[in-house]
Amino acid sequence: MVTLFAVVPTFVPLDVPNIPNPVVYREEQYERWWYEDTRSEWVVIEDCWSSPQILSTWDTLEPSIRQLLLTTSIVGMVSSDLDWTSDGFCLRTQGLEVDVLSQREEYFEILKAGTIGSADTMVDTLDRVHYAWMANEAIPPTNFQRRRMWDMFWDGARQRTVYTSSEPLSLGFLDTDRKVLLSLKERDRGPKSVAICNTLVRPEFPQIAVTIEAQYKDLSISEMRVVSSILGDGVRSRLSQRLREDLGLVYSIGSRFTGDSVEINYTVSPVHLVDSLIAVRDVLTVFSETGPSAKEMNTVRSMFLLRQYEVLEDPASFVRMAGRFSTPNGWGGYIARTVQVLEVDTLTDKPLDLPSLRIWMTGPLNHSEVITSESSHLMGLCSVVGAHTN
Amino acid sequence: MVHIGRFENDEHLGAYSHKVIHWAVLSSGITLIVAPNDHVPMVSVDIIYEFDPSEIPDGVPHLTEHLLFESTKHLENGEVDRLLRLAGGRSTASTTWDRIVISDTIASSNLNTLLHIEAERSQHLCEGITIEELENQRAVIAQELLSMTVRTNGDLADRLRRRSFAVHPVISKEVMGQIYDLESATKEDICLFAQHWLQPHHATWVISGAVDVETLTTALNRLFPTHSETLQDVAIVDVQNEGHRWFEQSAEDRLTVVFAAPPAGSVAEGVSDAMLYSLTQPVSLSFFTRVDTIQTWSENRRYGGWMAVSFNTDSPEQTLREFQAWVETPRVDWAQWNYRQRHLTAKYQITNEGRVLLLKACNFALDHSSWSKCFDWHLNRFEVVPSQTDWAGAKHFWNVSESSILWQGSDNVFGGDVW
Repeated sequence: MVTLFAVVPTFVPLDVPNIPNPVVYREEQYERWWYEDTRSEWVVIEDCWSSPQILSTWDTLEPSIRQLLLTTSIVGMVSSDLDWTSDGFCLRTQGLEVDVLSQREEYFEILKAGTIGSADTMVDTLDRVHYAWMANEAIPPTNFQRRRMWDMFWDGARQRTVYTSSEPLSLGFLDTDRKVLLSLKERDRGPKSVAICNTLVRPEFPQIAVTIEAQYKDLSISEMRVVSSILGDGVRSRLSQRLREDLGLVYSIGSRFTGDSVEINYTVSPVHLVDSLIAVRDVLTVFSETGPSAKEMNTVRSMFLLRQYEVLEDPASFVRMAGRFSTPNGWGGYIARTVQVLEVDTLTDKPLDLPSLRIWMTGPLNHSEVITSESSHLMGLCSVVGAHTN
Repeated sequence: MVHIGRFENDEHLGAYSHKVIHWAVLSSGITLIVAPNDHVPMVSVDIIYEFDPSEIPDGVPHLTEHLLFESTKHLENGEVDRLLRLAGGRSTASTTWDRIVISDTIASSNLNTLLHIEAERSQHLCEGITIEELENQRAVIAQELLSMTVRTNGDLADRLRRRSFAVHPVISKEVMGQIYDLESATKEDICLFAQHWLQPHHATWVISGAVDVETLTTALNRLFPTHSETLQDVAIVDVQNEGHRWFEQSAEDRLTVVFAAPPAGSVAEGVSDAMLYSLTQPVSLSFFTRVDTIQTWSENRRYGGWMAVSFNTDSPEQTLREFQAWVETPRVDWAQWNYRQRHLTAKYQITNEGRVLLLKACNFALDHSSWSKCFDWHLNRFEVVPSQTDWAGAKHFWNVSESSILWQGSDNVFGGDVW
């Protein structure tokens, strides 16, 4: 076979992008960053609220607030996203200028009203069943507690608006006048489930949804992001290469970095379940023995920078990314730190500790098969099987 | 609350239009359409290989699409993806009944890498295919078929297209291929298909991004051989309604009406698109007394295509009568339709991928002397209500009595064939 680079020209490493500077406006509890974008009349506005008054159960409010915002009238054809963060939430709206401004006012009215909706969610597809089940681990607080938590949040909330448009817009901030009647005692969330392998039996689905959470305790956040990319980003990542390309067990498999672990997701036919779990275990084992190769590190660098350019190109992704940092130059710093991890090569060709795993499976599961396989093939992968049947 | 019809002061819109669009047919036969845009140092490329599926075994184009990411003569298994990622790029592909579309993105500094890879895929795919890769991709597509059945009505559109136009030689064709199609497809089938149809003279390259048109043209001329034969247009007969009736036992009550669609880019297509869109708006929903939701979709080609309107209803006969009445005097809100055009054009004009999407639509609709008008064409479609002639040209496509109908429910109220 002809040497590859005799056919394909040598590539040029990507440059680190320059992040543009916004026009910044600041007052005591409010901040606004404007990025000029004259490519079309498209406008994106993101408002983020954060507060020091956050309880550990803060994330249990998300479904209610999401549902509440969904009841708002939609102006024209605008589209909106809600991002729930560890210290607050962000609301992003995009479309034509007049519509976006009107929609933003609608949302402000809803948030001012201070009500919170119920947390009912639709559950019908395999993915919805699977992720709803995984998310329901925490015991939700009562409606009363949720209301107090919401009021406490607003008591100390700061707002920041990040937006792109061809010309600066006249944007106000959300003025809430809330009185917190009661404080809510911080509640311990308690230890996470000791089971490392959980199953939800749903015989009506033809496939099984599998989520595997891999925790690499010795790696930094930047390093774990790199590991996640090598394992499950793209059709030729280690997991996809093995399970899809080599073994034909799945149509797609991927991983994402959740902030403290690498989460692997795929769906699989029941007959291939055990083989797929063994294959994932083997991929993780081999990866831990050898660590990433220099070529993989270079690929992650290229894909990371490509992603930054894609974010720079798309105004909604742009304001989302820019708004996640406390200062306008935060994004540039994040890029520099990540590129440094990739270029300093602390990971290349070095063995890693095997990650600890937690597994969730939803679908037409045969418990006896999983348990039998666990003893004979999986060698501890599913050492505890918690059976839940709906 | 819906705001519509704010078009009084549109003079400023011209300032947003990026009007420089290049079009050429190269010596290799490649049709090249380029809209330079240097906002970020990236390039988006869509390569559309069109083929005549009437004599191609079912499922072979889709299997070939999968194999584009395996081995070629000079690239080992997986190297297409690995090289592109190293060069700051990525590639995906999709297949419909009559085309394979490869969608690439790459850092503009490494565009040459992408061009080499695409030349290799076009000219040397067959020599690299191994029996093992063929087997693996059969298994992967089998999983893909299965994953479609997991989604509610995930394969409904495809089933409807094939069965509503069963006698048409082209749009009745399989896309995914059934299991038996996959098992019977041979390496020879793949090679015949690739060597005939994945060739530059069957390809349209649509590009947006930070690219120098002259350098690009020179590179493409160097990488793809000159094609001397004149390309004969494939004669495809118009798509006609076939008037089938089916019944499918289902817990969901759903009535779906399938029509032949007007040719892409025609005035009739624009009128029909507006009608399809209007059917999904709240005002239409209130017109139908026993309908919860309305869903529509369409796929258009130069020779026609197909479109469908699907109602969630507990009274299919009444809904069908009301639908016939709606078609007689469609409630199309033209101001709302124009607003939608403006909204989508503003949105898609921003990114390279969006601009490629707009350029592809223009490729159907505009003659080649009008390329500079491409982005404005999206804005200007039907700024006024179409004339009676336009209506007449579109209306015969909406003949409900000749349409194909699928009723999914508990009883076979229409007496159609059981699916």
